[in-house]
Amino acid sequence: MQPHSADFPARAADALTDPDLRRALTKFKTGFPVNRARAVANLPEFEALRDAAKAVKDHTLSHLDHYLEAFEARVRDSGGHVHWARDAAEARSIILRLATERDARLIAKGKSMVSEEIGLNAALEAAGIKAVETDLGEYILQIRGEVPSHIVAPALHLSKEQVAADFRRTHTHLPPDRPLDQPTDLLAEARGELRDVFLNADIGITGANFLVAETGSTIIVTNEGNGDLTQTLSRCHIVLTGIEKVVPTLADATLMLRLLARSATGQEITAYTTFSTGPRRADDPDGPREFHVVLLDNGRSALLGTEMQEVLRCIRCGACMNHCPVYHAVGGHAYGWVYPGPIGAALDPALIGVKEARHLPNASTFCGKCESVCPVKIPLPKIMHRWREVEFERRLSPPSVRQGLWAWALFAKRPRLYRLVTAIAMRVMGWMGKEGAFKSLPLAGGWTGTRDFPAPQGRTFQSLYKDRRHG
Amino acid sequence: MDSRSAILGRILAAAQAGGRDEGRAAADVAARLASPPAHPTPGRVKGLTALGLIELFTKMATAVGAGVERVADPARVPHAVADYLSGLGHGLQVRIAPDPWLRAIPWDRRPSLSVAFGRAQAGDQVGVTTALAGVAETGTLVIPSGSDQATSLLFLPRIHIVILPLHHIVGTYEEAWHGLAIRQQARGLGMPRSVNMVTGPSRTADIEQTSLPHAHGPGRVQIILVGEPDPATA
Repeated sequence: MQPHSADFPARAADALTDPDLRRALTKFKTGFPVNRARAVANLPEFEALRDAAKAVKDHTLSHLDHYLEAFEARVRDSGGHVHWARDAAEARSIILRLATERDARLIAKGKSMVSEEIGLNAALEAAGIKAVETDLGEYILQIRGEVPSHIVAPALHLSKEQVAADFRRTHTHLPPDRPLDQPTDLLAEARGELRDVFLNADIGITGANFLVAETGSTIIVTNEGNGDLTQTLSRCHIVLTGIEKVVPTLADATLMLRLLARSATGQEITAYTTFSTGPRRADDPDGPREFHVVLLDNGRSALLGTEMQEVLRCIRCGACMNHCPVYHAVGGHAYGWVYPGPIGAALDPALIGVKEARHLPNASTFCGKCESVCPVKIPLPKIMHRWREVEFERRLSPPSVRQGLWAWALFAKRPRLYRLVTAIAMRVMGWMGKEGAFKSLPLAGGWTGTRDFPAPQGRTFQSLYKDRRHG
Repeated sequence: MDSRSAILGRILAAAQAGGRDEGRAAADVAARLASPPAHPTPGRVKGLTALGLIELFTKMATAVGAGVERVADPARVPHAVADYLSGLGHGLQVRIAPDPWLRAIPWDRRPSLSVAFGRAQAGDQVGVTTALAGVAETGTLVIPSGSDQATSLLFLPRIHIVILPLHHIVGTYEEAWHGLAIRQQARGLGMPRSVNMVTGPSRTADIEQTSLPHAHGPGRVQIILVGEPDPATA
């Protein structure tokens, strides 16, 4: 997928005036967080599980080569194949080759953010292969030509009226006067349309939430059952996922599963959790004849051993964006790439470059809510902070920002000068703002555009503090 | 250099730069794979009797929209299945997993039931399977694939009926994994192609964040518990 993260300021401004998005985000702000809080309250062991999960991920990342090799060996033992892809282009070409070798015409797809990351659908289409998204949200986005705005709830920005209009436009073989007012009508129609895809697909492509080194299993976690129909009914199952998804054992995967749904949607567990290990056995009545796993690096291994390594613990639950005031304000599309919200701000600079993604680590109030709900305790604000430093070091920020920081540093490094200048400034502002507030201020138009700036009362914090300590 | 070596090489270089003890790394990984540390498990199942586990399983499965009922012995299963389907006004054609225990159920006790065994076909409306375990902690069914179990039965039909012997109910996922290991070992097999954890009917919240049942998988999951609780452990 082509990144548009460099346009974040403009996209965020558009988002703030989009009434459909405002309505969706108002609902979104409370839905998942309330459900998560309830699920966490119902499991007193939740904190202990978070600590254990962090430890498992840290251990795995520090031995990632060994666990990937163990995973690969077990996949081979069970009759499957593992393919390694350094970058998006290589992953696309591996899957294209698998598809053309099998003369595939129709591919069913389960939900996969890595597939969005590598822009797989466009590549398949260009090769004349029809790929159909089967997750309801992803299906809606595909017929709209849009990308997901959330990693768990990809179409949360849309209203049912928008979906109904899309279905009328696309499903032209159905009676034009059919009722599509209720979400259940839309769901039933999509179910009917996608059934044929499941039954006729030559290949099924899914992502993976986890990989298990002990058994060579790939795990998908879903509610709709689309991923399972995708991988069970076609001849060939291709799993596309990132190298950081591996955990050592089934016991470790079980630990992660206890955290994932609770953190994501507030469910105790999703409707379906499926462990897939190799192709159909000789006496199995069904299942795919072939099993392929494509392991994608695409910038991940470059994070190992850096201060940003911890971002690789991510299990893609979305809790950070569900609780983020910036995401709540602008939604996912403003971020301009596959992974929005705090995890996007921490991960995207590594995957698409600091230059392209430099606004994202700045789109944060540093309130710390993301870190406090992260099931694997990724220090997201710290990592965003580090990316801001990289942005500054590489001189990617605009001159006004750099000059502002330079000016601030000039005073901040000289306490006496700082005290003197701020004391004068507060007096002047206190005198000018006798009415109590400024309706506009030079250099702060963004702030005063929507609210008044309270006028200082004539003294600085430091001088008031000094009085209080000695008084 | 091929991609595999390039990726693994980069990972190794980062590990070495971080001071990983290469003399121990392989042994550490092997040891951890051989005997993984135990993680915290939900206290909600601790100290429960067999009866307590059955109650918790029923409560959790019901909470996610599954139906749970109990019959005393396998001979009652055909009636329970037929009565359930009739109650929905549904037809009585069912596709049953080719499991020896399910085959041994006297389906002909209810002649109006039309039964066939094997994997799900496109038009099938009702799939009947058993489960290796019913896990009380979340009301989850654990169903491994094998010669006796067709995965398609869990996803293609509109209705999934699970015939679960009462003694298959366990407390935690870990106990289900233990049961799976014993079963596979007894069969001389490794990990089965597929292990499905099923918790209630399929659902989606992709339209306006409103949770709706019956997405692509079954819209109904009915669990029929078979047997009497063991008085020794109840």
